[in-house]
This record gives sequence, C-alpha cells and structure tokens, in this order.
Amino acid sequence: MRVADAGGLIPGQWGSEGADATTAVQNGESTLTQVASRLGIPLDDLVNANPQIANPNGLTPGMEVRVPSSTQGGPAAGSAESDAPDPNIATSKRMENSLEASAMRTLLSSPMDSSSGSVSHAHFSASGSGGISQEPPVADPLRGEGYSPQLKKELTQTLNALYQRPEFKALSQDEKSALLQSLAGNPPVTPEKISKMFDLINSAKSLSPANHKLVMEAFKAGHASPAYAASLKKLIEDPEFKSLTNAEKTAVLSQVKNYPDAKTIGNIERMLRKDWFQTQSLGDKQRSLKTIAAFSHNQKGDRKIIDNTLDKLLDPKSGFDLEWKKYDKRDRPYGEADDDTLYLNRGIIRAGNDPITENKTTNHLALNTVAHEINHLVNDDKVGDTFDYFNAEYRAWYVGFKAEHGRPPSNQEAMEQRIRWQFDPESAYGATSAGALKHPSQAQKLFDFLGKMTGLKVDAHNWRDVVYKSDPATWPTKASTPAAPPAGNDDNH
Amino acid sequence: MNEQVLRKIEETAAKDNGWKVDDVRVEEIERLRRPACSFFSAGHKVRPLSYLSNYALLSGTEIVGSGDGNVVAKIVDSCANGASADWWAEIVTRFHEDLGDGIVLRDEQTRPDIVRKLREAGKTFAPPVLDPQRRSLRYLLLDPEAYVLYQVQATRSDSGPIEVVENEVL
Repeated sequence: MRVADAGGLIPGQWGSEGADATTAVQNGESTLTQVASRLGIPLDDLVNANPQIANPNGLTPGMEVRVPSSTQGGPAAGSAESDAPDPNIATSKRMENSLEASAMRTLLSSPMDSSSGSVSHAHFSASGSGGISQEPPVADPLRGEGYSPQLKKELTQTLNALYQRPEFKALSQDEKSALLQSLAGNPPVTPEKISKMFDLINSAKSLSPANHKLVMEAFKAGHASPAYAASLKKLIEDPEFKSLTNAEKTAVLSQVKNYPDAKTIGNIERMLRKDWFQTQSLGDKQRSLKTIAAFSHNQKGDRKIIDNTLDKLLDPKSGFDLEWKKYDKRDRPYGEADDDTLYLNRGIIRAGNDPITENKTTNHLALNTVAHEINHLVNDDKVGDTFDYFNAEYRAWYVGFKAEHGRPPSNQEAMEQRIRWQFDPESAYGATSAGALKHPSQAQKLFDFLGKMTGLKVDAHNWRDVVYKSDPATWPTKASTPAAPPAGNDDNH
Repeated sequence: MNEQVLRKIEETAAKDNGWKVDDVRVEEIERLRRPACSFFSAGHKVRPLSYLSNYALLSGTEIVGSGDGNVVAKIVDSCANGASADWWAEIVTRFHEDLGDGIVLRDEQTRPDIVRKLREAGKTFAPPVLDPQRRSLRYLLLDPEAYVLYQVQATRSDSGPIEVVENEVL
C-alpha cells in the first residue's frame, strides 16, 4: 500500500508543525501490532501516536491509524511503499502529483545552509590561526529549525513543480536526490537557480559517471548558487577542460567541489591554459589545483593581495610559472622564487584529489607562501648586504601575512615572527643583515627601521637589545599597532 | 677554513641544489665543531632564499648532507662523544630529512617571546634533554617562517637509525 495522504510526506506539512501521516488498516489486520509490523516501526511509537484507539487489538479494515511523525521519511514510509496498492485511489493520485516519498525523504533530511535563505560561499573559512575549518552544520528543517511555515510552503510548491518537469524526471534517482537536497538546503529556489542547475546538468552529460557525480556534489557544495553553477558549466565546456584526460578532469572537479566558489572556478579555468600547468605530472597538477584553489578560496585573507597574486600567476599575459620542487628536507623550505618561477615544496602538499590536509605547515604554504614568493618576483628582489634586501624580505613576509590573515601584522608580530629571524646570524638572512650592519649608511637605515617599529632610539650600541631583549609592552609605539607598510610593491599589483 | 674543504662543499651544495658554484656562500658553524667533525651551512648569494643547506665534514675527509635516520646516526657516531643535548638537537634538526630547518630552543634566552607564549598557554619551557644512554632526545624546535613551535622526540632505534616524531606545541 502507499502511505495515505498527508502530512509529513507531502509539501506544506513538514516536521513537527505538520499533521501526522495516516495509514488505513488492511484486510487481514486487526491489531496495532500487525500494522506496526507492516510499517516496520516500533509498536510503542504506533500506540503512542494513536491514543484515540481504545482497543489496539480490535481494529477493522479501512480504519485510519496515525503514523508517528518521527518515523515519517524513514523505514515506515519505505516499507509502506513496497506493499500492496492502497485502495484509496484518491490518495494515490495525490501522491502521484507530489514528490515521490523517497525523494521527499531526501529533501526532508537536507540541512538548510542559512537561516536567511541567502547563498553562502563560506563552506570553508580560514580560522584566526590561518587554518581552514569547516563550518558547523546548521538547522535541520525536519525539526522545524530555520524554515518558517511560509518558506516551507513556498519551497515545497516550487520543488513539486520542479519534480514534474520532464528533464527532472529523466534524471537518475541519485541525481534527483542530490539536486533536491541542494535546492532544499538553500532556499529560496529561484527560477534562475533552477535554470542554471539544468544548464549545468546538460553540460555534465558528457562526463564519465564518476565525474558527473562530482559535478552533482560540487553543485551541492556550492550551495546551489547560480553563479557557481554557471561558472562550473563554463569550466566543463571549456576546450582546455575537454582536452584533459579523465583523471585530470577528476582532479579539477574534485577541487572545484572542495573549494566551492565561483571565483575559484574561474582561477582554476585560467590555470588550465597555462603552459606550466599543462606540462606538470598528474600528481603536480593535483598539488597545483588544491593549492591555488585553497589560496583563492581563503575567505579571511586579504582579497586584494589574493586576487593580485593570482592575476600575476594565472593571467594569460603573465610570465610567471609555478613548479613543484623536491628539497632535501621534507617540510622546509615552503618555497622560493627565482627566474620568474614560483617554486613550492612538493613534500608538503600531497598529490591526490582530497582537499589540502590542514595543519599549520600546509596552510602556511597554501595561504601565505604563494603570495610571499610572488612578491619577490614582482619586485625582482635580489640578495645583497643592504637595507633594501632586508626590507625586501620583510615586505614579502608582510604580504604573505596579510594574504593569510587579512590584516597587517602588529609591531610585536613583525618583530617576533620576522625581524628577529632576519637578524639571526645562523638564518639564511643573517649574513646579509650582518653585512648591511657593517656599512654605516645601511646600518642607519636598519636602526631607523627598528626605531619606527618600536618607538625606541636605536643605534649601533643597543640594536641587539632592542631586537632580542626589549619587551614590546614597554615600547613607546603600541605593540598591537599595525606595523607600517614596507617600501615597495606591497600588494602584488 | 681549509680552502679545499670550502670548495668541495661549494661544489656539493651547487650540485645538490642546482646552483652555480660561484653563487654559493659557505659558512662554518663554529659552535658545532667537534674534535673529528666540522659543520657548514651553504646559501645562495643572489636568490632571496629562506633556507640553507647543511653539511658535515667527518674525520676531515668525508662530506655528508642531510638525509635519513642512518645519515644522522652516522654523524653522531662519528662526532657526538661527550657532546651536549643542545648539540645533539642541532644535529638532528639540521640533518634529519623529516624535520624542517628551525631554531633549537637551547635555553629561555634563545627566544624569550616563545617562552612567554608557552607560559601564557599554561605550558613549561624545557631545554633539550638527552637520556643517559643517549638513545632518546627531546627538545623544542621553532619553525621561524611559519612561527610554529614543535616538540621533537628523536630516538635511536635498535637497528641503528635515528627516528624523529614532531608534535605541534604552539
């Protein structure tokens, strides 16, 4: 039989706010135990949902029994569907005109992405420490959290209409479920959203089943955003994408799904055209894709620096390359810049189609080093025993910091996280800093730089104490004040 | 510094890193010197690089760079007699390929800012510790580029090589 009309299983009557579903007692049934068995639900639940039935062992065929709401959309509905046809023809017709029960179950279990109904691209966002953390799940409409009754009504009407469209009916059950889940979780379901969704589905028909599935998952990860769907369609139809091997397409679509926003898709599409990308091995392509996608997707980073950096690397007219390099140490350095090439450490970012495995090392490379090293390239920095080189290294660090955190470093952060290292005699910068300090004019520039940062009077006698021993809390400048921008191109324009 | 040794290290660093020999700058790390061993760092004179390559001269003849736990074991077997835990920590850091370069926190004065942050996090600073049997070493290592503090546990396995485990502290 089919579950009789009603609430919880047809639009407009969802969750706790709707009425319970009912089922008719079948020929041969006379007890609630038999009904519970047929529906596959606990007897206690059925008894509790039917206080109006005085004698649970005295049922007669045709009598209506309430199906508890907590079981709707679960095994009860599924079991009911597989039983004999419901004698209630009117009810059956109503079901045919509504969503299939299985599809509706999917819909009912879809979490709403935003209580405001707006589309969010912040599926992943950078944490204060530079990490990329997934947002917690939001309200479940089945529990009536996040959806107003009016919104539920509009949503179910729209999805019902969608369900009747031939192009939707032609989809597989999995596709239907994925799309309904995406749409139900991201109201309102606008005509534009549906239109872009069908455009995307049509484009994805040319893909392998696995890649097609990735597109469906990406659409959901992209919160059913029309802009995201349009960008994804454009990518799939791009001749450069079409020319990729199946495995390469999987690599691209995986990162489109892992870092879901329209701008990141655009950056990936630009990357496909670069000679340096095309000549990389599959493993390095996967590294490039996830790194550039994570960098592009950093919601908390400095957007201007991120966009400028990506333009420098991905613009058709750009002469900069990206290359993955094996170093003698697995985790360091993060990267380097030379001869118009950004080199990144192959040992830090794993090949594969998963998102970047998040830790401070991988986050630093993806969110910071890319901007840092591109800054060296746009400024054509060269090593020297000079203040200018000291400033160049500080500037590149400053740009990387802003790209990752979306704010300039404070005076204290600049001193502790960078300047001390640049003066460290055993660091890669120590020799050049020591060399600069031997030249009075260069040394004076370094002292002035330290004086500006700390507010202290700095000279040849006290600079070591200022760098290594002074307490930022005692500086005349506030330790928390943003450090002054360094000289030179400090936004990678 | 012996000119022949210097040239040999320049050539080795150039080969290892794909640099021109004339672009290599080599410095001896004098505080690590041992009776039978000397230690050197090699950097690039022109490129703005954040890293140095490390080399050890063993018994006055053999030059080794960073590598796996067997390489580190070879260095300590050749040079570590009577060496401090600080020295061991420097060697493991500089020569074990599974560790990035970094600053070994030898004492509270090495990086007072890190010691302060440890206290703020309710943690205690500890200098490098080497067990009496010289099979286990524990120390704090700062990655100065990402400003991340790790605790490193280095252990001499029964088969010989030195194995390292790195855990994030701050």
